[in-house]
Amino acid sequence: MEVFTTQGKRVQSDEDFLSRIDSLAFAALSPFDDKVLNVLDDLSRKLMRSPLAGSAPQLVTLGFWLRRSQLSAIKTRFMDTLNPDSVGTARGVALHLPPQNVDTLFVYSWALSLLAGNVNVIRLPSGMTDVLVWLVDTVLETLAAHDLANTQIFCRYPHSSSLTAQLSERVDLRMIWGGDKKIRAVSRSSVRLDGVSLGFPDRKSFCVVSGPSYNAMTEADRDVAAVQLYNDIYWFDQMGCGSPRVIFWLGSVTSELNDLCRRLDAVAEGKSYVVETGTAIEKFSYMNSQLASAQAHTGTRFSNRLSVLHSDAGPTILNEVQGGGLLYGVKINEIIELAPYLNRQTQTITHLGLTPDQITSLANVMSQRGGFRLVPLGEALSFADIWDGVNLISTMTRKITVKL
Amino acid sequence: MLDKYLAETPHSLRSPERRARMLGDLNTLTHHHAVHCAPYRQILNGLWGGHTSADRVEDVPYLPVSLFKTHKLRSVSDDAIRATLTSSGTTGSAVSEVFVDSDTSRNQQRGLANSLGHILGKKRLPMLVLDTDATFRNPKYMNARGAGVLGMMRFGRDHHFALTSDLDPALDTIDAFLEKYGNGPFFMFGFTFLVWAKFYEACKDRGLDLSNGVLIHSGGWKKMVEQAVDNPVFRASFKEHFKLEKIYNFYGMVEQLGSIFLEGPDSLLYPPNFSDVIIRDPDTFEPAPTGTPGIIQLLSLIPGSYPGHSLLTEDLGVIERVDANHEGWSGNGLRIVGRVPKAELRGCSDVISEKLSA
Repeated sequence: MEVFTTQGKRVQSDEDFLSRIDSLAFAALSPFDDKVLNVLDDLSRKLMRSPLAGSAPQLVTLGFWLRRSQLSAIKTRFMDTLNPDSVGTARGVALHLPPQNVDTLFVYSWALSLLAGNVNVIRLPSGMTDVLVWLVDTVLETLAAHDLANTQIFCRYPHSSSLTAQLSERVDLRMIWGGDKKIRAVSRSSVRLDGVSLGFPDRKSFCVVSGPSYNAMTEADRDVAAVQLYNDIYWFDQMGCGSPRVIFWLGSVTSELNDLCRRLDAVAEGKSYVVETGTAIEKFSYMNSQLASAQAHTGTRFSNRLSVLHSDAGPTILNEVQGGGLLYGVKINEIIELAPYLNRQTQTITHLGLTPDQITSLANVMSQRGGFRLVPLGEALSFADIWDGVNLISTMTRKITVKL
Repeated sequence: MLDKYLAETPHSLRSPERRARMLGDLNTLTHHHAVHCAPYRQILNGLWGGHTSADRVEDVPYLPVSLFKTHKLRSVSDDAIRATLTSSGTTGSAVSEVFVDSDTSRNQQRGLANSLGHILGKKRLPMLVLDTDATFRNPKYMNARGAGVLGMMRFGRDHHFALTSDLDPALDTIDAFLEKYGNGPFFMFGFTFLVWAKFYEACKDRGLDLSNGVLIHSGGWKKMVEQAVDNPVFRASFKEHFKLEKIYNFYGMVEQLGSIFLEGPDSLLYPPNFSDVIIRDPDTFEPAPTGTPGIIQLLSLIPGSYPGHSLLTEDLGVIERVDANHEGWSGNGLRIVGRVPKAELRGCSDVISEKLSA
């Protein structure tokens, strides 16, 4: 196994590594320790000035999320959850298993756990992008400068290793990101008997647009909407759990959806969104396959970047998904028609142009069927300290009751 | 439909005339499949505006070849199906299924005979199969390799098999074959990688004289490229060690069995008269100009029992020359560039299934 340090990767035996983790069992800090707030503030500034920011805007987003005022707001919300006779404290040692392909997510998971005061072990993916390498280096440097490197361990080990199991039985908190299969596999080994394991499985997300509102929008506003939709869809090749797969078009006709899609395609072109030939063929094959299976009645290939299938087949369209810029367009007359598409797998619904009444009835459908976030267009991928319905800081801490 | 194409000298139709002739027949096939194959009709209606009558060959609707892995596509009734051809394509678990009735099957044979006759002549030659007979022992559910070997065996006689069932060289059989037929014209067929790895590598130092032979081989260069063997190296090696010069590679796929792109005198691959190729720009899917690489689309008039007359492949290629008319070979001279690399998308859901030990 390898541990990342400011002097590069250090190879270590599993035994030495585990005994180091054991030695940190009582090394946790208090939640929202000043030292931690300072280190994250420092990191925030480095991220916003990243030399890679041009090609990796997610670094700036992360930096913005880590700025002091945002963390103070999280602190205030956390303090509000404490009773007068309870004291918030770290859980102890946390293990983070971030996804292979979203390069910044591990920082959100880790930073919240650090705010909670925990000792953290983060397993990094086997294949590391330039962005990820820079990010890990920057985090390590910042930790070292604040003398916190000892309790925050970034490491890597092969799939065949039994380290996940051995680490799990030692930790008080385990965060598993990245898909049903992985969560099932990891969950076969349990954490400490009094520990907590959180899994964030595959989710599906949608977008709802009011046709009449869209019609009433100016050209400029429609272009803004297209940019927001672009950010929601293309940042992680539409593979982010919050990226919409279906646009529900409320009470209106296909040509309006086409208008938005034309603008969306133009934004993607303007941002030089690259589609590999393999992905282009995969998307074309998917369209053909869905039409052949009568899951859609028509399809439009705007370009390699964007294809849209029009469907009235119902929720079976969600059985197989395709990323990289493939949307379903489904026409609805009432909000309630969304209900069959929502279930326990639903995560985010972004909305554009809905009335407060429509928002309320959509929230009601979500509370009945499924879904965790109902947010404006453009916020599909924004991270929050309440994720998939879980208050992360609360879960990452424990409460001690103290009575006089 | 095929007769008027087969009546011409093989590989002789020039591109403009070929396309002019094929257009009507391709439209007929599009219409036929639209009427008789519901999934195809749904695609035609959903993606191509329901039109079955293209104005140009370039506008004939095309299916992605992977559709034969996900759907059972046929334009004849179940009981008319005489054979189901399968292929795993490349790596991956899904298998293509191609449903062939007796008409299509006969046309596959006629089409293949037309192409091969061009280089083998009309008489059937003694044949050394550079494979094992074990590959087609179960005719019920034949894979592409077995079907390929069997299909080729029709064009030879007194078949000898150069490999054992373990794919070792059957040296006694090879020696016996050459003893008997080595002094006159004979025919050899095998799949490129097996021919190289199991025949050439094992026999190269045995002083075999194959100078009277004709070798036809196919099956892709992907594994060969890994060993740094391309067509020129392949040809030079066989010439050096076996004095064999009459070597013909061909490109084809189970979804268009019977239409093979055969290596011409200039080493490019040429379609038979009833077939053609279009290269499409990977970004726009529009036809690419001669000399520009792109995605290969294949056209063939053979598929009648399934909608496979116009297919977008997952191969990249380039039309190097049009109607070069080198020794009478006309049409689009194709060079294969390789497979389209598999897509890998980012995302919060781990695409690679994690083999985590519990």
